[in-house]
Parts: sequence; C-alpha cells; structure tokens
Amino acid sequence: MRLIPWLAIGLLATACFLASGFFGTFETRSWVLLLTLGVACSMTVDIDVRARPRTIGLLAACTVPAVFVLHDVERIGPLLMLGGFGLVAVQNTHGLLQRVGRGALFAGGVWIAQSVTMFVYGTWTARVPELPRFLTEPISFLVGVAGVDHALDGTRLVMFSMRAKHALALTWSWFADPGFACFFVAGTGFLVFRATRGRLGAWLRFVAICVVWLFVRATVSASLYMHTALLTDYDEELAHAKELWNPWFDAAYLLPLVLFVAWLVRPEQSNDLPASEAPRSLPLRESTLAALAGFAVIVGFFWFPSGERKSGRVLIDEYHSQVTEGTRSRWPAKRFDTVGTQRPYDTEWYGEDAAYNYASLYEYCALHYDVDRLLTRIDEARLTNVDVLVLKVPTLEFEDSEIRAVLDFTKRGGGLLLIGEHTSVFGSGVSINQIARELGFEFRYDCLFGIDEVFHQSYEPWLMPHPASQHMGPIEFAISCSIDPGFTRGTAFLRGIGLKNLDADYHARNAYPQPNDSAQMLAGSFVQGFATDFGKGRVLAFTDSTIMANFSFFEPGKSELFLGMLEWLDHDQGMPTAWLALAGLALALGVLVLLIRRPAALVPVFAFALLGSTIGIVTVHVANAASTPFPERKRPCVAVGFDRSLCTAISLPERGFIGGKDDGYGLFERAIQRLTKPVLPGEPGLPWITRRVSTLEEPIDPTEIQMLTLVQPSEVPSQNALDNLKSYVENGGTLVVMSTAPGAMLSPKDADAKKDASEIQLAVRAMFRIDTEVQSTVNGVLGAFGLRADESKALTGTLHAKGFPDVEAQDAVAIEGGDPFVVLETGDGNVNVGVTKALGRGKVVALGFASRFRDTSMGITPDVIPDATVRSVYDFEFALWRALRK
Amino acid sequence: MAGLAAALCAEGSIGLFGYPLLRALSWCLLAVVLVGGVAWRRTGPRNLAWIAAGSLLGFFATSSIVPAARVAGIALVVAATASATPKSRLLRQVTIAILIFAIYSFAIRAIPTLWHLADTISGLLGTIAGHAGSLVGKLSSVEEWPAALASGPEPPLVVGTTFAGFDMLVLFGTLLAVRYPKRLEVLGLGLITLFGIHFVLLGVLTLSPALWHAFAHERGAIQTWQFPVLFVFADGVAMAALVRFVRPSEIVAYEVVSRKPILLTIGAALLAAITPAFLTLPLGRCSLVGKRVVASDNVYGNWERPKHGDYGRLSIGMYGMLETFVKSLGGTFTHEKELTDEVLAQTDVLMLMYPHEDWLPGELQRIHDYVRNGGALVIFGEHTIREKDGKARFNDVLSITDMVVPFDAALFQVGGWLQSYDPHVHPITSGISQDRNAFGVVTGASVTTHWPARPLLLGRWGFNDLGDEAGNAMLGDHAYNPGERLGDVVLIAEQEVGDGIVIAFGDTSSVTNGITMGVHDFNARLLGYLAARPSSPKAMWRQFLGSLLLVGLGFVLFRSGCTGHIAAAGLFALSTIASDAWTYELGTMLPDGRQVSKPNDLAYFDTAHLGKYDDEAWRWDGTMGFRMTLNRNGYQCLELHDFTRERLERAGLVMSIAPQREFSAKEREMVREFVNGGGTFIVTASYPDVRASKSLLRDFGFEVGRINEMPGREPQPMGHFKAPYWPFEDGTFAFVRFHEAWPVADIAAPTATPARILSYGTGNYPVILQRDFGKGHFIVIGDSSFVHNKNLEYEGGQLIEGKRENADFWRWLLGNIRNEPWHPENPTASEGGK
Repeated sequence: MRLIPWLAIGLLATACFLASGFFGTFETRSWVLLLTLGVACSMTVDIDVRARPRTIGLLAACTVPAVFVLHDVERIGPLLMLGGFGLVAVQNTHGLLQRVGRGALFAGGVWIAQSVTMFVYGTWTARVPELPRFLTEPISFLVGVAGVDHALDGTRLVMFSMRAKHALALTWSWFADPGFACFFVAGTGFLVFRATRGRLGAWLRFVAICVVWLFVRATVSASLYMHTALLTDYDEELAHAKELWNPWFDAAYLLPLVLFVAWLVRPEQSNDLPASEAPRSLPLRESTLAALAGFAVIVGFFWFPSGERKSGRVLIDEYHSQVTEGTRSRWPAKRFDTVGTQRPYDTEWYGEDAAYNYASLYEYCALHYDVDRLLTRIDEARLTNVDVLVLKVPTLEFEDSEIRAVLDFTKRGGGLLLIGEHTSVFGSGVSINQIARELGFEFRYDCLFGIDEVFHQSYEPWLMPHPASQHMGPIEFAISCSIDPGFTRGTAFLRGIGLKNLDADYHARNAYPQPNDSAQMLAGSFVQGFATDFGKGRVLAFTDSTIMANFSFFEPGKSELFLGMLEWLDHDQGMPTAWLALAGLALALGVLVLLIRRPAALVPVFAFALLGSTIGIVTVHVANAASTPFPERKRPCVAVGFDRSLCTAISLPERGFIGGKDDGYGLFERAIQRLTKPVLPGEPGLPWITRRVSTLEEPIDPTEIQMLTLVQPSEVPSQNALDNLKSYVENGGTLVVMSTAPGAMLSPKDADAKKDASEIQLAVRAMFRIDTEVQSTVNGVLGAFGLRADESKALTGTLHAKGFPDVEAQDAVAIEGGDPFVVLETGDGNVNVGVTKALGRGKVVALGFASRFRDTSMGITPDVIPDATVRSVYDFEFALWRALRK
Repeated sequence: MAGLAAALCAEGSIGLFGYPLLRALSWCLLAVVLVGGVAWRRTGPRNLAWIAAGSLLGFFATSSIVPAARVAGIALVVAATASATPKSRLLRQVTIAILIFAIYSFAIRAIPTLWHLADTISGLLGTIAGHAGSLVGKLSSVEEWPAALASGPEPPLVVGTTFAGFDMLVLFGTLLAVRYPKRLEVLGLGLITLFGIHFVLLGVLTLSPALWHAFAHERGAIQTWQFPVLFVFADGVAMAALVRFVRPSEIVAYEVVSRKPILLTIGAALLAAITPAFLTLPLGRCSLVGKRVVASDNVYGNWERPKHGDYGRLSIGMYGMLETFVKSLGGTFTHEKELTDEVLAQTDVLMLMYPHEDWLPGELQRIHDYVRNGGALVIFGEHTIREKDGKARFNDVLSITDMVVPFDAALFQVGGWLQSYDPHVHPITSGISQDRNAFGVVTGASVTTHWPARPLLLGRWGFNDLGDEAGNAMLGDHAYNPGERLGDVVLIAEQEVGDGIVIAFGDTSSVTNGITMGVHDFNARLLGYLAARPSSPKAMWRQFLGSLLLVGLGFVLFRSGCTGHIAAAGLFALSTIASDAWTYELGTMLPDGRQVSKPNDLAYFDTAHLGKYDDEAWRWDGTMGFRMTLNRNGYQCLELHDFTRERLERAGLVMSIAPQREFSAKEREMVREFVNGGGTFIVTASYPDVRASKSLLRDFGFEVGRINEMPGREPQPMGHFKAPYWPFEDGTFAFVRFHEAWPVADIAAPTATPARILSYGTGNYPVILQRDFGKGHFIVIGDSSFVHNKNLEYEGGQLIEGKRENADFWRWLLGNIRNEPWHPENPTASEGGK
C-alpha cells in the first residue's frame, strides 16, 4: 500500500469537510479542486470490480435513484459511482478508462461514506460537543508538559498568557475535526475491506497512529494558539481564535497523519489474497441484506410516525412573560413583553413594542387551531382541556406546583412547546430550564453566531426533515441560543451548522456578549430545535423567540415552522420505530461481517445499500408527510403575496431586521399585517398575512394568495410566468404591479453603497453608472394585460384617490390603459398613476409610484414612530389594500 | 535530519516561537524520527523497551526550562532509536552531534568566555556578510537601501549567535566532524558550504529592512524574528545532500568502540552527571538577613508609594516600596543624599538607580573604592540617556568595569520580553520561568559587555534601537535598522572588580513599585546574592575545571556505544535540570510580613490559580488598581506564584480572584491554617466561574449561587448594581458597586461562627460575606470582576461615574481587617479625589 491511496482519502476527506459547511461555507472551487485531486489519486487504488457487464449495469442502476433523491453535495458520491460503473462497463480491460472508472468508483464510495460520517459527526457533536474526561485529562497533561501554564476547568483548558486567560473549549471538533473523522472512517473501510492478509494488524496500527496523532495535534494546536497570542501586539486585538475552527488548519494537521499512516500501515503486496480472474456474478445474499439494512436504518431512525390528531386546543402562556413592577425592578432593560399576544398589531400602534410581540402569531395560529391565552399561574385545572401548551421566554420563574402541573400534563399526553431566547435574557433561560431539565435537556445560556457572517444564521432544511420542520423552506434565524440535550432520547428537529457560540455577558443589561472570537467558543453544529417524548406526550424546544415576532413571523419559513411545531404537538405519539433502527443496525453489522469474509463483494453490497437507503429516504418523506400533514385553515384570511422571482431589485427582510435602504420595501410589506381584524370573543377575526412567492413558473392558487404583488419587476418574465399570472387573475386573484421611474431603481448592491457613501462617492457612482444598471421589466408584465407604464419621464406631484389621503410622490410614472383610480397632480396637470383592469374573476392593478413605499420613505426603521407625513403614507397603503380587497 | 531539527527547536534556535510550540514541534519531529528511523517490524522486545524508555525520558526532558536539558532529551530519543537500529551508523553520528550540541548549549550559558568567543565569531561573520550585502545592495540598486543605510552606522549588520545561526553551525559542523573525521576534503567542503550558506543568508538579512520597506512597507515594522529558520532549512538541505551522496569510505576511528565499553559508559555517565552541577551550583544561599541596602538619592525618580486620595497609573510612585520589601526580607533599606565613607562603610549592597545629577565631590571615587574594597554594587541604567555633557552618570560608575550602558534602547518583539529572555547560568537567574516577565526588564538600554564582564541575562528576540537626540525621550524610531544589533541583547551583566562586584542593568524597571509586585522573587535573589555573595560557579577555577570536564565528556562520547550515549544524554539532562532547580532553591528568599507591633503587612495576590483577570495590569480587566489599593491601605502587595505553606504563613492577606485552577486538598488545608493563624483570605467568584473555588468556599461554609431560602434553585444573575454598606447620619448611604454579582449563601453548620453580611444584592440576597475563622477572616465576594480596574480604578485615575465608591469600600473593609477603623465620609461633604 503506497502513499497515493491514503492521499486520495485525505483529499476527499478534506473536500467533504469543506463542502459540508460545518465550519462555514467555502468557495466551491477550493473543495472541487481537492475533490478532483482526490479522484485523480483514487485512480491508483485497485478495487475489485470484476463482474459481468449485465451485473455492472444493474449496480449502476442501483445508484441512479440516489442521484435524484440526494441533495447537492451528497449527490456527488452517487454521481461518481455512476460514472465509474459506466467507464468500467465501457472498457472492461486494464486500460486507462478502466483505471479512471475504478478511481471514480472508489472516490464515489468514499464520498458517500464520508457524507454519512459528516452527518453522524454533526449530530453527535451538536448533542455532545465537549470531550469526555478521559480525553481532557491526557490533553491537559500533554499541554502542561509542552510548557503551557494552564488548568483544566471542566471541559475548558484555561491557558495563561499575560494578556488574558484563554479558556479553550475542549471539543470534539477541535480534537478530532470532521475531516479527521472522514479520513478515519474511510481509512478503516479501506483497510478492512481489502483482500489482504493481516488486515486486523494493519487496522490496529492505523488506529494507534490516529490516536497518538490526535493527542500530538491537540498539543500543537493549543501551543500554536498560545504562540499567536504571544505575538499579538499590546494594542492589537486578540482575534486569532478563528484559527481553531479553520478547516485549512485541520487539513494541514491531516497531512502528517496521512504520511505517517502511509509509512507505517503497509501490508506487503504479496499478502494479497488470491482472487479469481473470472468475472463474478452478483453476491445476491449480501446485496439483499445490504439493501434491507440501508432501508431499515433510514426508516428506523428518520421516520417519526404520529398517532391520532388531537382537537387542536392551544393554550399560550402569557403570565410568565408579562412585564410587572417586579420584573421592571429586576430586569430594567425589559421594557415590554416581546412575546405578548394580547394587544393587536393594528393600524394605530407604532414603534418597537408594536412590532416586537406575538400578536400576529396568535392571530395566525387561530386560523388553524382553537387558541387561548393563559393569564394566571399554571394549574392542573387550567390544563385539563388543552392539547398544546406554549411556554415562551418566561421571565417569571415557575413555582413547583406549576412545574408539576406542566409535567403531569405532558405525561398524560399533552404537547408542550418551550420557546427560549439567547443568553437566558431577563432570566428566561433559568425559568424555562426549570421545566426543560425535568425533561432531560436544557437551554444553554449562550448566543449563536454565524461563522461566515456574525449575525447571519441560515438554516437549510435537511434531506429528511423532522415532521415539525418538514413544511418549511430555508429560514434565517435572528439570534438564537442552543440546546444541550446530552444523551436524552429525542431528535434535533433543527440542527444548524457553520455556527459558533458565546456565553452570556451578565454585565450587559440584556446579557448579550460582544461577538468577538474567543477560544471558549464552541463551533460547528448546534441543536436549535429539539423534539422528545415525555410520558405519553410530546415536547418541542425552540431557541429563537425573536423570529416569531410580528416583524419576522411572515418571512419565509417561520410561520410554517411554527405551525409545523404545533401540528406535531397536536398529535399523539405514534408507533415506536426504534426496533426498526436496531434491526437495521443488526443487519448492517451482519453485512459487515459477511463483507470482511468476502471483500470482493464490496462494490455490489455498497451499491445495494445505497439503493436501500435511497428507497428509505423516499419512504420517510412520504410517511412523515402523511402522518403529520400541514394543518388546514379553519377560518379565512387575506394573504398578500410578494414575488421574488421577477422583483430581484428590491430587498425584503429575512431576519426581521430592516436596514433602512432605498431598495427596501419591508415596512410596506409588514404594514399589511396591521390590517388584521383580531379574534375577539364571539368574533372570528380576519388576519391579513403576507407570503413570499419564489417562482411564477408554477400556477398560483388565488384562494391561497388573494393578492399578488410585483414591486419594481426587473427580470424578464417567461411566457410560462405570464400565462400563470393571467390564469391567476382570471381565476379570481388580484395582481398588483408597482413600478417606479427606471432612474430611481437601485440594485441591492447600489442601495448598500448609497447608504454609507459620501456625496462625492455617490456622484462618482452616478457618473460612471456603477451598479445602477437595473432594468425595469414592468411593461413586460403589464403588456400581457393590455397596460403600459410610461417610463420615459419621472413625475413628481401629489397623489389623489377617492377615499385615500393625499400623499406627495416622486419618481412616479404614468400608467396607460385600464380604469384610473389614482392620479398624480403635477405642475403639468393630472396624470394617471394607478389603474385597475378587470380580467375574468380577478383584476390587475398597476401603480406607478412604488418608490413612495420604500423603507426610506416610511420611517427608515420600524422602531420609528411615524410623523404625520409618514403616517399618511401608511394610511394610503391601508386604504389601498382595503380597496383592492373589495 | 528530523532529529537535528528537533534539537534546534528544543534549543530555541529556529526563531521567535512560543516555547510550547517549539516543544510541540520538536515532538512532531521526534515522531518522524521514530516513524522513519525504526524498522518496527524487525525490532525485538528488548529494543522496543529501549525505545519506549528513551522516548519517555526524552519527552519529559524536553519539558524542562533549561535548553541544554531539552536538547539532551532529543539526543536521548535519537540515541534510543539508534540503539534499536544497530546497523545505522548515521543515527549514532547524529546522536553524538546532538549530544555535543547539548553540551555546547549548556556551556555557552555557563562559561562566559565561550559566549564571548561565539559572540565575536558571530559578530565577525555578520560584519563581513553585512558589508558584502551592503555592497550588493548598492550595486544592484535596491531602491531603499541607500536611504536605509544612511540612517545606520557601519557595519550594517550586527548580530550575535542567534541571528548568525551559530547554533546551526555548531550542530551541523559537529555532524560533519563526526561523520568525516578522516576525510578532510569533505569536512572542509562541508564547513565551507555551511559558512557560505550563512554568509549568503546574512547578506539577505542585511538587506532585509530595505527589501521589507520596498515590498511590504504597509505591514508595519520588519519581521525578522523567524529568520533563523532559514538557516535550518538551508543547512539541512545541504547536509542531507552531503550525507546522502558522500558516504564515509571506511570505518572511522570513533566507530571502533572501546574494548571496555562498560568503563566508557560509566565514564560518560559520571561526567554527564557531575559537570553541569559543577558549573551551576553556588556554594551557599542568598540572604539579606541583617544586611543593609543603601540607595543613593541621586536617582531619576522618587521614593513615593500609592496613597489615599491619589489614583491612577501615575500615582504608583517609583521606588517607595523598596524599603518595605527589603525589610520583609530581613534587611534594612535607606536612601542617602550623599554616599560618604561612613555610609558606605555600613553598606552591604549599594543601589544606584539611574543617577542623573552630577556626582558630589569625591563621591564617584568613593563608590569605586567601595567596590574595589569588596563592596557590592547594583546599578540601573536607562534607555537613551545622554546628559548635557554628553555622558551618562551611570557610565561614570561603570568606568571601572568592562561594561557600559550605550545610548540606545533594548527593544523587545514581545512585550515584557516574554519567552524572549536567555538567562545564563547564575545564582540569580537559574530556574526562573519565563511565562511572565520574571526579570522585570521593560524598555531600557542594553549593556555592552567585554570580557571579563559576563552577561547574566540576554534578550534574544529584540534589538538595540539606537537613540535619537531629537526623538521623544531621545528614543529611536522603534524599528530595526541596519547597524543596530539584532538579537542577543545583553540586558544584565556582572563583573568582579577588585574584591567587589558590580551588576549592571540597562533598565530601572525591575525595582520600581509596580513591577516589583511581579518580580519580587528575582529582586530578592539579586539583593540576597549581592549581600551574601555565595561562592559563584563563575569563579575562574571552576570555570577552567568545568571546561575540562566538558571537553572530557565530549571526547568520551566519541568512543562510547549507544548505551553510553543513552546514559550520557539521560544523566546530562537530569543533572542540568536538578542543578538548575537546586540553584533556584538556594536563591529563594521568602518575604515575611510578620512584625511584632503592627499587623502583618504582606499581601499576596494569588497568581497560582489562574485567576480570571488580565495580567497586563492596567487593562480593563487588570488589577493594578486593586494592588495599589492594598498599598494605600498599608500592605505590600506581591504576586504569589508558588502557593506554599512557607509563603502563606509569612503573609497577612491573600487575594484570589475568580480562580480557575482548583485548590488541591493540601492547598485548602494550607488556607485553613493560614486563616486560623490570623490571615485574611479573600475570594471573588461569579457563579459561572466558581467551579475551581467551590471546595475551598465550602470549607469555610460558603456557596456562590445558592439561595438558602430556595435550595436547589438555580440563581439568577444580578448584573451590575450598587448596594449600600455604610449609613450616613442624614439617612443616606455609602454604596459599593458590582460589575456582575451573584448571591452568596452561608451554608455553615449552625454551630459555626455566623457569617457577617457586608453587602446585599438584588432580592436582598447577600453578595459579600465574611466569616471570622480562628484568628483570621475569610471573605467571599460573588463577583469575579469586583476588583477589576473597570470596577475599581481607571488607569487615568478618573472618577467612576463621578465617584470613588469602591476605593472607599476597600479602605473601610481593609481598615476593619487591620483594626484600623475608617469609614467613608458623606459625599455631600467631600467628593472624589485627584
């Protein structure tokens, strides 16, 4: 065994690690280059694929479903295997293509194994990020021998430097990074499944070298960290902790290990077991078992069946999050209840507290469930007729009787949703952990930050989402904490990667720490949502209360997530699946034993296991969707959609925060929620909600989205999109197309620049037309409906419409065709800038004054209480939507 | 090659790297030796045992603070590897080369003459290469070179052994000599190659400032500190090629192992064990008991100490705490306006701290006579000093020596010369760790030293920044320029004059009030050494005999087999480590604050348990404000690096700030004894930081984060607030401020003395509790940041939110502890301070 195969495994491991985004995203070209080199090196690996062409064809067919079912990066493995089978089949001799094909097969198999490793690793480290004592003690010893003055404080290695004490978090991802884990798993497979004598000895040597090297590299890493701290100037910021979660450093640490392994783990070539040169048929027994094992493991671990649906009675605790005299004196920074539901988000209440509460959430949930508020302490009686109890960011601590009542409620079969917030702010973590700890997990008193961008935490749904999160797309977190489930039974229904955390700063009034990198940070994978059972009931824990507030709730994914959580809790527990998982594992073990005895069957067994797993994935999707479907609306609402496929020149908020830029229409969108008529005793209410429409290539149901808004369209619509829009209108939808003078349209990049630029910079940018080339395609849309915007002239004047307040507008354009209902009074006379045109059962509305509703024209940020001028714009908008609904 | 590189890492020759990183790198290289050097499949159990034992011992030896021991540790591993590979001549040759390098590493620090010789050769090499480089710079029109050269004096490159790569020359040269002893042409070629490489690289080093400014001027000052690693690479490649392609043609003499290998092994072992001790150990202890230390008032500074009403960095004074310090060591201290014969006759140690006034008539001569007649003088210079007459007063004094403090500033790359010192073997420097600035040198001048003066302390990673009379405080440009000495800057030197002795510093910092807190151990050794004058290993006869022993050891190594090498390496490492530790022990003096008539005034600041604060004392999370608070309240504040019973029993107060290293059972017992005997122990800890002190607090009946009314309930943080502690007559209160406090509970048995609540926090839960225990007190404060500067005293001395609340609180509390009651005044009557 030579160096190159080990190099191949190392390169593939590093590429897989980088591609996974575990420590943040990396340029695609960097990991693709490593992958390419890995595949090239894999060509030196002599794997056994002697089989008849028909058999090879069958094996290739086994990998095809995975190519379609798996997601982006995971798909690379099956693709490589498919290509490998193709090349092996084309030229089944010892030619170059054969070699390339075998290399691709090897690389594909390694990639799949490493992708699985990355998943298991992420799951494990999110639950148990820190090293056990039997590892921290030797590390401490070695670091001490290296001369670092230090102490082991729990799972932190507190290291002395004159500048600071560095509390290095001793985590798995620091000690044995994901790249190493991938290398170890693939290396083990490489050694164990080879047809050579002395495999066990070679593998034991491999393990020994890896273990020794892990401790050496831990010492090097800690020493290097201290070296960098030593060389940091007095006036320089200590900002080198990010090296601790830099995959390139991990890749550098992997290289010596590859060399050592290649040097010391070398079974002699002569030790190869004799193999028949004759083509072999399919090892049917092993392959069938492998497929079954793959299927059973996937379904056993990822299928979460539900029992009967309950009655949908949801009780939201208001008592423990309220602001009282006591909380005001204890937590002066808590000025209002950020999760209160009692005061509606209406057209009269403005400012930070108006947007930062759960009124919209309450009204929206009331569309699907029977929702009620708990305004007193919790007791048994109050929970009697409740299916789901929601406890959110409790500032007031729970009394023992309340804790008992909640636990009893859950034991009896109730659903419990715990919503936490960062850093135990205002005591919420301590309060909520009174209950969470009884259930076997706890909210950490930390803040999560993105590794790529500090205040950016994106969550991409995983291949096999939990039922509670299966209905949502990608979401953006605001600031969450993390959950420490330890070894408690349950699953992370939201697990984020590319994150790092910091503990609370208890001096700050909101306990929010300065997001500076430090050695004490955990980094990598975190549980942000946890699901478990307790007695007969179900429990969900969620870590970011902020994104469920009015200002964020209707952003993509968030309301869907919340409903998904309620719906999961509104179901009884389903049949247990652990037996299936265990059976799958037992089968997998059996297959491994068979493979060790007959390594030549590796390739077919692998392909069949992949097939079984792929079928399992599809099964899980179908089964989870069937057992916990998206809840149906019980009451009507008004939904206003905002297109994001043609309207790319404007920005709408993703994390609840509005930047106050010229391309932003977040305040305009958010104001629609204010039209909600709240549920009152005896009155059903009528919520107004907003939705983002990501594509017009598929039909839009006007009963789901009654009004669809296109603001400053800047992408050319396809004929299919136009047909869908026509169909939407003809079927009863209201299409609102808003335009502005093309010269006033800005790209998001330009809006960013404009926000911070000086006047001279702006003049230069305008002169050279830097980043301002946004093309209006509004007439491409309006033309399909016989309307037209005259974009040749930017108009300024006063908007008049019957029943609307008068509003000044700039950069407006005239609209031709249709029935005018808004005119602009200019110096040259009145011009139609707002028209409607009926079509089928719906109508098209064209407005030529979009820029009047920019964030910069509506108060810049939502915290600003509008003056009379801005208020008139809001009133104009309210009148507009009310008029359109009629 | 990996073994050789490991030896250079262990010695610290490869550039400015943190010591832990150097050790870790040397382990990695040793791993390469073990992986590549041992035929594992053909190695029997006996040899495996040798390898395991050698590697383990070598591994531990590399953790030593003595460079020679670390190198010997590397030699031990390589020797063990060689013993398992009997046919490998090269490995044995490398072992010998590394062992001799270890001997050299020891000798250059123990034998000043050798250091002078190596320094001269290195300097010569640098001078020649510098001129050549300069010429190349001019000829090849390196754009910045003429300008760079114009600012510096000739020669353009001044280096010591470090930047000349002298260690590499020794190591690789020895390997050549060992491998090709009878092939002079190969030996010669090899040596020429080595010198050629160094010559070329030194030329590049000469031009480096200009090249740096030309290509990387925006990256700040030139970074040359890792330059020596280039020598390792270049020399390594050249030697690897030579060794690979030019094989020794015959069995050379040394390879004919003696017929009596056991005798040689014993001889090697004996010499390796004896020699380091012979050249290290002093024959006596350092002591100040009954001695009189006198300082001249001709001092640029003052004798002030921190006092109430005066706050901030500038209020610390300069040398005012010396008197208390010397007194605590058993001596007496005075400062005299004139050094008369009468004064000098009663002086055991004379201190001159940056004298800048003209000498009084006859005073200089009296000082010289005092020294020649057996007096002990320590003189502290300062950076870039040039008085009106163009001279410096301290150089007037040094005129009777071969030392001079030049017009320059010895600038470090790492602040406080951390991990940059190179202490030579001496009773005052041996055994001192370098994690902290244990010698206290900051920005001073260098000390130019000629034989027979001997350096005691070098700054390896720094340079002499030549002074500029037009500059701020006549300092230079703070950047390395051609002509300034690069590396191996002498910071402290010593010379015997007549019957007396002179120790010269280039900097006064070590004995100032603020720095003495951290370097009291070194200062005690310095004064104790000068006062007691134990027989030094620098005595000429010991130097001569020791040199012979070292040569003998080197010679024996040539004839020894692997067993002899292993024995020599192991014992050499052991002996150097033990001698160093013993010397340290002999120099250790314990300050004692116990006095009959006054409360014990020695306060220790616990640094042994890695408290949660910045050791850079004036940072936001630093503690200089608190240390000065202790001074203001009558305490001498010293850092407690060694948490020993002997030190505690001599102290009156110990402060431990949010310790993060757990107190061992023995230490807890010591604390109990300390408090029981009348001491005051104060711990600050917030709930998240309490793990390490939990058991100690429990011993005294306290628990941070517990609320007695709600046992088991997790505490809520109290955050920042102020709490009243002293009532005024008008019904208002004096307040104490907290940064982020947590409740503290009294959990002692009902039979115990009840704790006294000094302050409450939110919810009326106690946050400061005091319990009287035996004759002493134990106080716990539930706030890790309570004594940080940000919560007590700002560097500029500004009021905090218009008040001086916590300074007053401590005055009140410490006054109570010392039975010197004081209480704050109503702020409506008086406000703030300076």
